[in-house]
Amino acid sequence: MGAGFQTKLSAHKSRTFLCKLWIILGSAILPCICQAQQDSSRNLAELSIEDLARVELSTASRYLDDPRKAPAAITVIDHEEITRYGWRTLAELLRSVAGIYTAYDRTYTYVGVRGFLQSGDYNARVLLLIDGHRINENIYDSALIGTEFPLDLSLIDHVEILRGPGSSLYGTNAELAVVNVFTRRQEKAPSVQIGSEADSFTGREGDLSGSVRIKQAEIFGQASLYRANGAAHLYFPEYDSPETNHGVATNLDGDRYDHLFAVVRTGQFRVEGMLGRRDKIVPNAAYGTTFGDPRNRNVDTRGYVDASYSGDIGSNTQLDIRAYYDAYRYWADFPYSEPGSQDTVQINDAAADWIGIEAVLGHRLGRHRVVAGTSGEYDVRLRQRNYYLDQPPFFDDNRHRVLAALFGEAELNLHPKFSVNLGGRMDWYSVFGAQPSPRVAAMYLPTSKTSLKYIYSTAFRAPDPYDLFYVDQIDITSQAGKLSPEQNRSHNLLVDHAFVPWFHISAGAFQTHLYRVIEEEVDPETDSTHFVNADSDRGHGIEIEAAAHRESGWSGRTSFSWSATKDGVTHQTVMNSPSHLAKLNGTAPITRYGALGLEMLYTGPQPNYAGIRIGSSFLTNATISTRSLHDWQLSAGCYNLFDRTWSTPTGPEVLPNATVQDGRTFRFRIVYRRSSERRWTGK
Amino acid sequence: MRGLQYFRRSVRSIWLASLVCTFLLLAETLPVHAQQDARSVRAAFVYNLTKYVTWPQPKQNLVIGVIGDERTGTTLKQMLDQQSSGGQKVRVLLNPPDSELATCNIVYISSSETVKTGNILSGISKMPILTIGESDHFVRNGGIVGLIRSQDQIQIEVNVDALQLAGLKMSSRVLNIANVISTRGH
Repeated sequence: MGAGFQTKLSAHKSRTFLCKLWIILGSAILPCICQAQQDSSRNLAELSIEDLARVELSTASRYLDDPRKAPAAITVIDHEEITRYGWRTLAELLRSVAGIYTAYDRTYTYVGVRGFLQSGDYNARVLLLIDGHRINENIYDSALIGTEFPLDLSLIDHVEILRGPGSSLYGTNAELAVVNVFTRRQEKAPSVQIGSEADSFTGREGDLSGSVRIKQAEIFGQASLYRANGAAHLYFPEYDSPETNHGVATNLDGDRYDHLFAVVRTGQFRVEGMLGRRDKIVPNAAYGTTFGDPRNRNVDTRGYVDASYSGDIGSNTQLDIRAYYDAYRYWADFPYSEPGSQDTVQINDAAADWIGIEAVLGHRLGRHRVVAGTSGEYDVRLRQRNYYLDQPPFFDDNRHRVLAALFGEAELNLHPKFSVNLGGRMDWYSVFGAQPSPRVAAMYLPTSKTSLKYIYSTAFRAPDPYDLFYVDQIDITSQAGKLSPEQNRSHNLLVDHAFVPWFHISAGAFQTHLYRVIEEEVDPETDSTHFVNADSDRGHGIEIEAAAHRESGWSGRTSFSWSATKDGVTHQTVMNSPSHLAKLNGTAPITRYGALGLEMLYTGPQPNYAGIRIGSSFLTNATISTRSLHDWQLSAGCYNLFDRTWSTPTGPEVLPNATVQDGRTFRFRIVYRRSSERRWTGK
Repeated sequence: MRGLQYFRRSVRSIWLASLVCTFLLLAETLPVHAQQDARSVRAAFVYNLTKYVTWPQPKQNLVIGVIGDERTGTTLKQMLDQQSSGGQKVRVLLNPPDSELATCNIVYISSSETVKTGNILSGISKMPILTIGESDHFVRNGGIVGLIRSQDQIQIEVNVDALQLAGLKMSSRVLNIANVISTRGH
């Protein structure tokens, strides 16, 4: 009874709230005074010739053509913000975005979108791309966003975050969001840059990059490395006993990475390569390992080579082609000790190599735009092995997999103020067969300042080789290929309005229905687990974001999001789902030489995987950075300024219900950049 | 009591809606953050070049002749025709006959005209006409300015010898960002 009353009450509150939202959204279109269609071409003609040389052209591709007509909720963050807010990882950048939050278990960083963050899925519901190249690897489908993200943030030009399903163009993993990272285009003149930073916990980073031009070829390369000892002492009350050092993990939070990145561009061709390796000590004895053992560590290595062509075929048609080779390696040591028996170390290693090709054709038919593409991928190796040190493997699984896909999108600009976007993709996997992902979006653009969109989209997450075939001797058995793709059906209503050129507000309401959710199930007889397609999860909510940017250096972005997510069977809030998120990011100029970046993030309370409530958190970060002064640039950041204790939920693989995050920490960064930019003398 | 609550809620909703309406009515223009099509960007380059190139005998009108692809010409006409540049009014002529080329200040040759490019250039190379093309080899074939697509950007190339031959002067502001090519000796 009580529960029923509560449900009705909360439903009534939700209805009332949604009514208000609808009034707000509805009112947005009322005062739209008819005005000529936006003429971005005229704005282009007003740009300086230097700015024109930097304008990015639309490609055939699936990248944003006109963000107002993009069939998704979008936030774009540029490199200026990365410097001003002193973000150290991609995860820190992402958590500043409306509806997005993160969790860190001192091994990996997880991202939650609109109330969904499943422990143990390694971000497989989010698609991560670098320059259009998929970064989710092919064993666990993990999107690596913490220090394990294999690219230096200093190389990023901008990041497009599309909230909502994106499988109609991108295929698997684009279930909740697509994160598109674009690297910076280097100056045409030869240049060299040296950067160095010092962090709390004896963290130190160094990077060296340079660009040269040889005839028509622009060549850029960067190498960087990072080492951090981590917190010297971490206390875990769950392990507080004399045998386990009273719950104190001493010098067990070490973190290190090495990155290499290179790109060669000549005319319409580009070859890009990247290699990143991250080695992390696991301090919290995940998976029942021995607490306090420094051998407990995870190593992830990710790399690719991507060759692409992007050019015009005729006056209305563009073609993008890419061919690639990707590799991923995973290595983890799990030390175990039983009283009275010898210590053992279980090794999990995984190796994946895959090749692929993709072609996307874009065509303009009058005022309409059509994109069609195809891709094929072959997993040369998908190998997972488990063994005890110095013993033969007890699990050794090596497979090949074929993926083929056809996709297309039509942007039909039926009227200057009304567009329809129809998209769809058909994926075929040798493991489970075909998977369609349609999308329909209708856009109303009553003035050049306002857009109103409705989007219905579907997406999926294919079961990965870890879900399908992984076995260990501790707690996981295989269901060997008996999984179907997890799917998402989503409705989105979005409104965006620019009040003045430097200030706009966007608001949206969404409804998400995840079904055939891939999650771990415990077999009551054997007490072991395996992955199954569970019933469904549902969620709905709203997001409101306001952003302002002044040429004087003042800028700000603030957002509030509310979501309610429920398990389809138990009707309980799904794991790791805070109802409320509030964010404020602002920069202020300090004289004409620098800026102050302030970030305030509130995350509401949320249940962990076991339904235990993890308290809310309020985090404040501040960074002071200079502009380039005689080739030098400096920045200093203080994170968790008020030294508040805060935690993020953990999964069942670790004993603590939540992981306590770092207190107040600091970072100092110095960059020296020298460019031999040519000055024309007229001779 | 319930009626009063509903009244308060309604008032609050109306207040919120009014607030939003007020802000919307104050609206002015849209910030453009979009990737652009190559044709529009090239047209914007042409407009900029009219400001940074000096012709020996300036006239009242600045005439741009566009040869080739119809859509390129239409874009140039839409963006530049009747615009003002340094006190001159810009006029865009679509596919003018060869006899009228000599009256143009700028001749823009689209990439669809690769076959005729050589003939056109040889006919007007010594006249004070700024020739602009899109193809990779345009400036090496005697054209003055190339607006070349380089993956996701338009790159500007300038043949300084052809510029000198035409008797035109170009601002160092353009030359600083351009790939400057000399064909002398070839």
